[in-house]
Amino acid sequence: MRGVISDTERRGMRRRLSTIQVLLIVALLLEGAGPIYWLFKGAISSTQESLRDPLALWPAEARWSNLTEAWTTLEVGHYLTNTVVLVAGSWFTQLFVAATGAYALSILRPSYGKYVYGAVLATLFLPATVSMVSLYLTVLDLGIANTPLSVWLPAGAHAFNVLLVKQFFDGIPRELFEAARLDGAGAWRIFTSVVLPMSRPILAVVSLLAVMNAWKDFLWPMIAITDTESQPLAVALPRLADTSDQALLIAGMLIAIIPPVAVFLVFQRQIIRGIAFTGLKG
Amino acid sequence: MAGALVLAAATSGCSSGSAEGDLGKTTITVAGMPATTAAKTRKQFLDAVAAFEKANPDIKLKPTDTQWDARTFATRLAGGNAETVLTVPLTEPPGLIARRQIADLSAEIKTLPHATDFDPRALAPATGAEGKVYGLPVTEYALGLVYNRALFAKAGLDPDKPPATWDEVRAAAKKIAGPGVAGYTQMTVKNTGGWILTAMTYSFGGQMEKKEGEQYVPSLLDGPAEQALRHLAAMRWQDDSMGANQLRTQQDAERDFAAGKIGMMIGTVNSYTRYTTLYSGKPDDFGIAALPQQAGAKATLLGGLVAAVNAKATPAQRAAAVKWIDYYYLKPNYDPAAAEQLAIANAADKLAVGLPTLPFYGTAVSGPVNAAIAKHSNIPVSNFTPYVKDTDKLEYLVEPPVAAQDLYGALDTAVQAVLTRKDADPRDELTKAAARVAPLLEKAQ
Amino acid sequence: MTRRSGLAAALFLIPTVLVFGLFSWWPIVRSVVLGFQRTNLVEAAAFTGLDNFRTLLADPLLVTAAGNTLLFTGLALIIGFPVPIVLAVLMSELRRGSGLMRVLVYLPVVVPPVVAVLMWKWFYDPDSGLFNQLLGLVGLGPYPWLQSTGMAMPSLVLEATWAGAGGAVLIYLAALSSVPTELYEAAELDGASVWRRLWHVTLPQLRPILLIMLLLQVINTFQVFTEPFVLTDGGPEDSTVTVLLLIYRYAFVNGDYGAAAALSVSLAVVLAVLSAVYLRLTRTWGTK
Repeated sequence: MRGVISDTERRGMRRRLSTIQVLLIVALLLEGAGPIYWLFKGAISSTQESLRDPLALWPAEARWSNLTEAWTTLEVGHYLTNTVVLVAGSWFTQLFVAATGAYALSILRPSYGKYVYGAVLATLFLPATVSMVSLYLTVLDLGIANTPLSVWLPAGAHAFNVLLVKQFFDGIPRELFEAARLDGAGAWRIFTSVVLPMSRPILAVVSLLAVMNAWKDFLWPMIAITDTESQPLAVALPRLADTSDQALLIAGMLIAIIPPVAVFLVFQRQIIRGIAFTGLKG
Repeated sequence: MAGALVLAAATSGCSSGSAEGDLGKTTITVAGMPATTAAKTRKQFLDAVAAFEKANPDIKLKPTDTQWDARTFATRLAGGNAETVLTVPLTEPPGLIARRQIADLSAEIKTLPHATDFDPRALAPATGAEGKVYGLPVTEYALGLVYNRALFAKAGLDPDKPPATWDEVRAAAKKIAGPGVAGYTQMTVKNTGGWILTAMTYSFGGQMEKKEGEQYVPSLLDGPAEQALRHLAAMRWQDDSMGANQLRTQQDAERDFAAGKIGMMIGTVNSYTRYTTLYSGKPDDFGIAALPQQAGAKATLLGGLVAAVNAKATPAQRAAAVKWIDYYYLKPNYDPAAAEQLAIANAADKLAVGLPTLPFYGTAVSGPVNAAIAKHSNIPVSNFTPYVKDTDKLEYLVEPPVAAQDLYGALDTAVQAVLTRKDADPRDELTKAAARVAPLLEKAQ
Repeated sequence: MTRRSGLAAALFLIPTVLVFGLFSWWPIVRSVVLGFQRTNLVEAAAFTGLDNFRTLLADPLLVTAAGNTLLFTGLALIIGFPVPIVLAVLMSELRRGSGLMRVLVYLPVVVPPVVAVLMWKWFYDPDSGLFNQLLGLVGLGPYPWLQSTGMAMPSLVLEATWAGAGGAVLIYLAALSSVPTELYEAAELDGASVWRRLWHVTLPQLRPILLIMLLLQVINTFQVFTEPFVLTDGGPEDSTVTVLLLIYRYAFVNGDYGAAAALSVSLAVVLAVLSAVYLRLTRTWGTK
């Protein structure tokens, strides 16, 4: 394997390449890990010290109690639970809708299927934000505002998922279904025991995208869930930012990024491969 | 109650209209619970809720701690997600009354103790046409000049002789300003820019809206608002005494003030509570004076919160709501025993006791109450003397009567322009703001 | 298909039709209808013809918001688009530590946007902010960052670039690894220098993905909201009021759902055209 620079050239410019390499890694460290370290340092410093000496690399007196205090007074744990509930539900709806819809459209193929698929694909042209206002009114009409349903259900209307899963299903050899059908399996049996087990890779990709999107969502949960008790952390943090001590807020922010960063570090290979696979960000 | 957050208030919760909860109980949602970051006042609120429910076994309260926010309030109310008992700033009642979103409480109020002893000024912000009353006062205060006494002393100024005119403010700001310290700060974000400019305009002898025929129109170009902006521009650009950060919310400004980064700003008496509890400021450094006046003006802006009842409430819920408002917000203002009990509790929790807020009742009622509270006062009383002494001589003006939040929003832009762009012309900026709000005022009437 | 499987297909389609119908198709139709109505949720909705569009055109903020949004998009193209490309090329050529570099470059993407934005608010603080303190060490500044009409928008773009570049880098890295090595070898035999090889081999090979990423970025930046909402609330002096922020204000602050819907529909038309181009590109690219 080679890139733009050939192996022979590489030998000739080894020193220059190493210099660039070191510079690049230092730059990436500052850019990627620096801000997270800043959060960590700010979380265990006193507010006064952060203000007085923002460039210190380590606080004169590490205040680990900030973390526990943030956990209790800012109720970070409570909001984090709300986030997890919203994310889990959104993930499930997206997966459920994409899998069932794609199965019907790709394998069962009713005559009207192409119209439904067309209508689903058409929504790709219109990002959800532009119908946000009427979506809110709809959620009000349905009486699900302020409940997790107001986030879970609209999350399911994600055309890209249906597209991804349908394309994957299209690639499964049809003989497999015929064989199963001859064995007497119905549509449901084929779905659960043939199609789903074969689609683990694509379901993993959809799950990854679903969880990341749901975890990052801010605008819609802010509109749909106005009840402070049920808000996810992303919506609660700017509100808390107004009234809380700076050190505690930074501690709260640190706690907020631990779960996604930890999940990323553990599953980095799969996540990085997944992003590259979809060829699309977010 | 004195400890309740000024901005802690209204909105959200669940189903204010429908809940006729367990076994014939009347369930109402009530706004105004302090946030978790103010643990002590929150606990007091919850204790009061429990005590109220015990005394009124047929009523169930569901408190919420959503902060009142101009950016979301209208939707929550219109969408039916607002509480039964709302606590809103004094800017809100006129619009809420006009859109019939809050209930007429006149009949319920008549049954309350001391209903005839109200100070008319306290009820004025929520009184509609034909004298109907739509809300009751939660807390009311006149805006003043909050200043850092330590920074005054450090700059060679006498902390007991705060500036009385805007020229004196300018001179003091120049002396206080230094690296990382702003001599004077004006908040400019989330409608506070317009709010504070309104107070300043009043103290320059002006108004923000005036009646032309039957309609209110903006009066931003009558002179005083422009003079106020010009004064700010001079401090910002000629003296450079306003520091580097010009985009502060009220919370940002109060936090930076407590951290000793701000010499003076327009603020409220109640901010003292947040100053000590939320932002750990030193009590002795907190100073407050009457709003400085210029060119012979004698006026300040009245601020505060009003408790109102959602128009969607059933009659039973409305009665329960007024009962709660009376119990939690009014009683400590007419019943000396309740006032003293609250003062003792506040003092035990190290919350401010004895702040000079406006009395809701005439002196016959408020005199004994104040005397009961004064026994437990724990604030540096002399730091409030300049405010008490001079504010009394000022006229208390209410907020602009029509679409005040829209006006404030448009004025945010004007104030931000003057403070962040050196070549911004105050008159041009006010002309733009007036053009922007004129149609909104018309629409709202 | 047998009749039984016809029933099964209908059953399997129920979730899709229900969810898309209620939360996608109906809101789109409703937006269009709302655009011609006056609704404040208190009184009954009434048709008012083009009134909402007239309100919009009369609002001086509309032009400001459209201009700001274009500015954000343009700046994001200038700053945010080339950065990931350069990073990806560098990372694919430097072989050591590639795992570490990938993790580092993607870390900011993992940070929830609200946390990122709040963090940058402190970085940008004119007095004790990290940036002015660091630049102060080398005798630069202090800069006003979010405090001036000129710098506020570039500052927002800088934050957005930091938060979003990682995803693009990974995608470019994948695309780079699929460039056939024979092309480089052939170019090398022709005597092309490293730079010429980059220009004449790498970039043309990346062109389809570059185009897609460009369009995606434009579509995304047209909808920028969190950054101005949390960092500046549209200020100073409305210099960061974006179209989506204006829609939000119309609907959820002023309660004028009609005007908000009218503006949404106008934005939707622009986005639909862009998305159509995007989809065409993905399809031709996908079949290649």
